[in-house]
Amino acid sequence: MDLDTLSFILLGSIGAVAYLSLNNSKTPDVHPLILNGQADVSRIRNAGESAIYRCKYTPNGQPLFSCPDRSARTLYDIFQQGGLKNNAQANFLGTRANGGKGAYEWVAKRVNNFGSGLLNIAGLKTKSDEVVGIFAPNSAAAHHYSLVTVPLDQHDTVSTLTHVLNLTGMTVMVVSSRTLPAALAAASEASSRALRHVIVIGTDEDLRADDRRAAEIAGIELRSFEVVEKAGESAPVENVAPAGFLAIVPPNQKITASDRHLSYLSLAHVYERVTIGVLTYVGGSVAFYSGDVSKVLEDAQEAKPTIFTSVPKILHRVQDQIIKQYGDSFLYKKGYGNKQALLRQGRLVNDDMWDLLVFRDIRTKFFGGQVRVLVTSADLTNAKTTEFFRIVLGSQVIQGYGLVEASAAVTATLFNDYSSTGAVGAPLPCNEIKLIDLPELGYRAEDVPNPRGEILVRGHNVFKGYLGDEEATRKVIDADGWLRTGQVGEVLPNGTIRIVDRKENVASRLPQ
Amino acid sequence: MTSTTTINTLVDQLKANPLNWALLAVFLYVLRSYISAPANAAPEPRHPETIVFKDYTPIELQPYTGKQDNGMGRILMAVNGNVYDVSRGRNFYGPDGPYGNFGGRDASRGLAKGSFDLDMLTDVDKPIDKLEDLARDEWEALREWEAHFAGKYLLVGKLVENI
Repeated sequence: MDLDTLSFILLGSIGAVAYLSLNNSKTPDVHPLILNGQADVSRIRNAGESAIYRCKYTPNGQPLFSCPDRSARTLYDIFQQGGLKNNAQANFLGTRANGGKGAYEWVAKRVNNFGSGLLNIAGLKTKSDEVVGIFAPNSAAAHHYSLVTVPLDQHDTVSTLTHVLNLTGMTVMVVSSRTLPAALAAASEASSRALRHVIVIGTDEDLRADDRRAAEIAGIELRSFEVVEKAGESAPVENVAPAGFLAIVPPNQKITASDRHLSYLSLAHVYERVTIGVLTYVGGSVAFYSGDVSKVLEDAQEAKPTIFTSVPKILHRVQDQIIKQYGDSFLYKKGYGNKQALLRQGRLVNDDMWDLLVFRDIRTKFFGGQVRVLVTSADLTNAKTTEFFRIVLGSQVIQGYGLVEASAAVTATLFNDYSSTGAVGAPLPCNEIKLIDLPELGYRAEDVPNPRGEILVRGHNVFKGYLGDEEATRKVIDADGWLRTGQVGEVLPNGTIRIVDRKENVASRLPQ
Repeated sequence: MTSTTTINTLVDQLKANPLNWALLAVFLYVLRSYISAPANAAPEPRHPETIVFKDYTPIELQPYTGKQDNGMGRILMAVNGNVYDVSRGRNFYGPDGPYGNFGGRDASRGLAKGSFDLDMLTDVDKPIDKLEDLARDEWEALREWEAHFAGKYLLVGKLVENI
């Protein structure tokens, strides 16, 4: 028994083929069994309802996830913890104007100053029910502050503003010079004369003479941001829980301090506030767009975000643009087909030959080239968009379903789940979901093959109620704490939910 | 050496050396597994079974002895007004088990007195046993049993009077 030439040849061949096998393992990114059971299902259910579905990490019987860290309960804590403690020097908020700089320390100092300025000048009391309105486009200066803030979208009409003024009785509002006229108009129309102080972002020189006059007429004190900032210290109060999402990110794709987010969706919507909250907690950085939504892609090229949040409307537009520009080329079609086949096998690649040839170019031109997670809200009109972006960007695309009344996110698709059936994922660890019968629309929890019905949510991210409107709150939240979402959903066998229909009874909108 | 001579030499070596047979077998196996696609048969996902929580009257409860469905049916038992699904304990509460009498019935009196006789059970047509004449230690025993059931089995309903 000796090793002769043939033995060596065979040994060499075995070694070569084994090496190739190891390198080319065609296994999917995540084991299919994991994708088969994405939610924990309760064993019993009430008649007329489905079982209660929860995230696998907080199964039925365990408490729901309420905060990532016992020391981070308010937005202020999150800011202190994530940014300030870990890397005070790192970039936090940046805009094109200030060259993208804005370390945590710097922001903290300005926040402190402005906050106490508010307390001093406007006579607000901390930890009370008094509110501060913020009515300006996203900008580093309009970020969260102490006291309870009421954000208003820069495109809100005067009548909306008047309604909010009346409802909240706010005494202070922060505006930008662009939104100032609308604010003053609303103040003079509002029946509540509580608005006393309007603070304009910028310096004293920015206040125009006719604005000053208009303010005087309305009995309002107009001040510039700078002036308010030049005073003492602050006290924190707010309460939003953005971190249910952080818990379902797999460890190898964790959101860390090196992640950056481009903020262009309206801060008045809780979706954007939650995203910024998440990034503040981990100490990442946030770049603010230049103010014009149609230039978002150019801002993205410069800011190079790693996390990109979006809404289906914008994504469809981008998708059409990409297809128009590149869709005819042979390389693109071949590459798309190849990557789609890989995706169907459960493998997401972003560094193979087709990426080098075609897709990397698209990525840099459209999104800055660094995006590794694309987050979008539930795409009800075109289920192919998520697949399209997985292929073109080579990054994870997470669809979330949520509503304003539940702090923007109720379910989210799992990382590494590449199906494009239109499912919007399993519940987040901070809440639980069930479906109830809607006999008038023909949906029942006992439907085969999948239970269907109106989606109800309960958990830590459900809101406490509409301000000043007990009756509307009672209609929407029932005695057990379940929030009626007004959306009809279907639970798929793998534990994910698919939105099927809509029941018109809730005054909320998906961010569109 | 010409190529035919080389091949002849190799073939002779293959025929002569048993080690080469083994190596050839291994090589063919590795080659085959590299070429063929991986066996990726994950089973289709399915909805798990759920039980509807509802009120049971003694008459409704009676069929759930475990004898139904060819001996594979669910076994339900009532303890102090709560109905538990004890199908997991088929060895005890099934038709052939030592406590099989309790299947589909109100077991409160039997558990309190520690007896499995038939005279501990009330007739299903009669009102539910009010357990008024139990002594204090029997009540304690019943409470312990109830805690045991609540921890071990699934609560699936309440026992209510026949209308």
